[in-house]
Amino acid sequence: MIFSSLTFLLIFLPITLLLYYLVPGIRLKNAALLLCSLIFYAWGEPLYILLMLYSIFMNYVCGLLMDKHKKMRRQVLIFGIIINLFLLGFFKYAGFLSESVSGLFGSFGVAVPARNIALPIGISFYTFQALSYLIDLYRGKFPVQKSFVRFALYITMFPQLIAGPIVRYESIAKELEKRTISPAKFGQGALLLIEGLAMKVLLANQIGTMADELRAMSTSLSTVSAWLGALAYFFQIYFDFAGYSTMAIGLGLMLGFTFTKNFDHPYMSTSVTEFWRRWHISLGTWFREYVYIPLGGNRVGTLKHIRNILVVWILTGLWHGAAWNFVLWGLYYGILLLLEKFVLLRLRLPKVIGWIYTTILVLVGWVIFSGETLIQSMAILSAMFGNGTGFFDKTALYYLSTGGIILFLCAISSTPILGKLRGKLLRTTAGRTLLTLVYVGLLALAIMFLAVQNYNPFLYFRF
Amino acid sequence: MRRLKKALRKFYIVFGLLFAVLLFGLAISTLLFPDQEYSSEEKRALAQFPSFNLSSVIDGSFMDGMEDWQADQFPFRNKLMQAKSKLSLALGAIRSQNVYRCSDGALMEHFKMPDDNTINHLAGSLSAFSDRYPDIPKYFCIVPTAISVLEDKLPTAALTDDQNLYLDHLNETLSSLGTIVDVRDTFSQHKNDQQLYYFTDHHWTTDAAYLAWKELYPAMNLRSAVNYTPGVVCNNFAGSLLSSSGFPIKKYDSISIYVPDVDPVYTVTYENEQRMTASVYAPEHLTDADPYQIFFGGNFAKITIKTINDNDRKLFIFKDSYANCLIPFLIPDFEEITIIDPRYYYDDLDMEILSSGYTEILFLYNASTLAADTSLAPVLRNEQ
Repeated sequence: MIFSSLTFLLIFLPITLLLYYLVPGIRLKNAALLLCSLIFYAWGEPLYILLMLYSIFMNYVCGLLMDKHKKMRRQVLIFGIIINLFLLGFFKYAGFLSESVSGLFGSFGVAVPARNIALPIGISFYTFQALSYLIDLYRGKFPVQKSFVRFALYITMFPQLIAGPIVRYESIAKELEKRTISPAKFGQGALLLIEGLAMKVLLANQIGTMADELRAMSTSLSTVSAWLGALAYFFQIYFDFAGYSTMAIGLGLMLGFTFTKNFDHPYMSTSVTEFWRRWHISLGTWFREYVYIPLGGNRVGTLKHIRNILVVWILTGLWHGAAWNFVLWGLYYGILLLLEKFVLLRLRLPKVIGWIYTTILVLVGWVIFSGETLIQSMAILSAMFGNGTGFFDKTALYYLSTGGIILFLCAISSTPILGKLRGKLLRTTAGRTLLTLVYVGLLALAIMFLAVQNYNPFLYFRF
Repeated sequence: MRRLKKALRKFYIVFGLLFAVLLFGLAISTLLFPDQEYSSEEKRALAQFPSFNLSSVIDGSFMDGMEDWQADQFPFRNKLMQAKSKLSLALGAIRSQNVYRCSDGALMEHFKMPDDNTINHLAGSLSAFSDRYPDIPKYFCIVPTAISVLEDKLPTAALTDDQNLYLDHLNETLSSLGTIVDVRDTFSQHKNDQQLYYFTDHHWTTDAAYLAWKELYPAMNLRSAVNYTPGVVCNNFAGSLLSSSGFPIKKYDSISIYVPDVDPVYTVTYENEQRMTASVYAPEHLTDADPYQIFFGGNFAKITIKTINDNDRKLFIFKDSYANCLIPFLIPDFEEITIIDPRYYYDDLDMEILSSGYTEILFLYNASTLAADTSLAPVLRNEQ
């Protein structure tokens, strides 16, 4: 189930909230939330829920074993990591791997049978959460979780289950046992839920049509059309992803959980390094904690340092999907970050210049990322940089005149301006009344859009 | 500071309460709102509550059906649709789904140029068909649609493929197979003094069909001496483009039929339905969802018209719905007319043609339908 659906908003959410608030005590609330989360997952993946249950059980048992047999901790950890990575690898990368091997060595007569395995939604997110639990447990950051319900709840909790943020066990361990559920938190959460919903339904979905249509014309784009298409996707992926995260954080609050911020105005960044501190923060943190630092981070020789960065970024790329686009996209960022680390950031460029080059590089990055094939991405990039069917055409005119206002709204919404305005309005009674009206209006608009429009795609099926 | 904190807390609590009331209120009212079977505005059956059983849950069709049911049965869905499209227009939209809205409110369907493979496949099928029946004269009348004829009315920023290119290419390919009847010249001559296309529907008007018949007349060597007087039979026609786009209505269309001075005598047989009538008109549909169905009552796999003419001319027509308002003009000239709509036709075509002694074959389509069509080629290749 996805948040931006009528089924979620008007059936699942009311029933879940009712059940959650009616049952007494934290134990029953946890059980109720677990049950609802399992239904939430099964709604979209009626079969793969078995896989998730297996993963939960396996990781739970690994945790118990690590706690019981201190001497075997390392072996159990390695076993757990291998099983987790194997499941992720099998269900996410088997097809890609066999295709690539066949592609590379096909001419030598090597053919690996390609399997078409549908990717279980959210597997990348819940596997990473499980890994963070095992590794941090090994590191002794917290005591083992003995309750199966609480552990299962950590993995499956529906707000973060299918599109993040990747919640580390450490940050939520206490709240699994004791948390405050209050009307004020509920209201604050509802505001965030509406905000996220508006980002997803009113901005991302609207600009998404334009992005899709222009991408499909990759071979016949003028320069301006190519940039418009890239810009449309640039906003679509941000409002879609950040919208989901915002909804997740809001839903968490409504249930008494505190998730950390996952996006912090990434498009305001004045360097690529800063962009990755503001974009999908929980993923960056995960890779830093569990890959980059264990590899030695920056406390090693320059060559190893470079290796560490490239490894982390190729993996980051692959995490986003099993295709060469994503590998290249990850590598692209690895190289850019190295370039900044060793050259650009030392030049202390003016902020405006930094913002301009960062924005352009991120735009280019999304073109690599969003292409259905590398060939398509390259066609769009070459059109963007002068090799299109002319500079301006009727297509560009169409999308400028029909999408101009939405692009403008997206641009405004990606700056901190609206957040600052909200802050100011919260200070006065009149402002708060106005905010109430605005948020109710946004909710009504979003539900109206969901009721009448069939364009409501889900972008994370490849994550 | 403390006062602000207190005020904020109060605000959050009140908002939370409001949100809960709205959420539960909406959830309950969507559940209680009575389900509709059919939307006359959208001209389609609405999704009903999905069937719940083990297999529909496992294959996910129950879940998909649930979302469709909720969206389709949402209270005041039509009002919401109109509000949404007004908002879209205000935000600069000129197209919704595949429909452009011109400044005078006229709606026009986008034309999509098919790729070369599709065109070649169709041409190949036509030519294979033609090779099987070299002795029967064939006529091709592929009619342009509004977006091509009335292109100058489109918003400047509109994006559409060039239908003229498609028609030029197609007509050139087909000219070796039979006679091309191109109505584009006469349409551009009359486009300013006559309404050739409905404002709200993707069909041409009977006036346009009459003009096309005037072109077919000499080309097909027609001889009837019937005079026609147009008469309006419906003036609140809200067509398919209105429903598929959801754009607000600017003005309703009217539908005319051309009344002949001498009534031809004939029977119309709907073969698969095993039903016979004495008129090509089905006025009971004028009050229906789709008044254009006054012509033949809609589209059927196979219709046969038998007249009292005794001239041995037997016409076979492959057609889409554009033909429905033109065919009445052809009746006085033939002894028999058989009309096939390949979208619904699954019988043995060769058997049909071999057994019935047709003397002429007419392909009557509009460019848009033909460009997107996938049913004519298999029928022509007799792949049942």
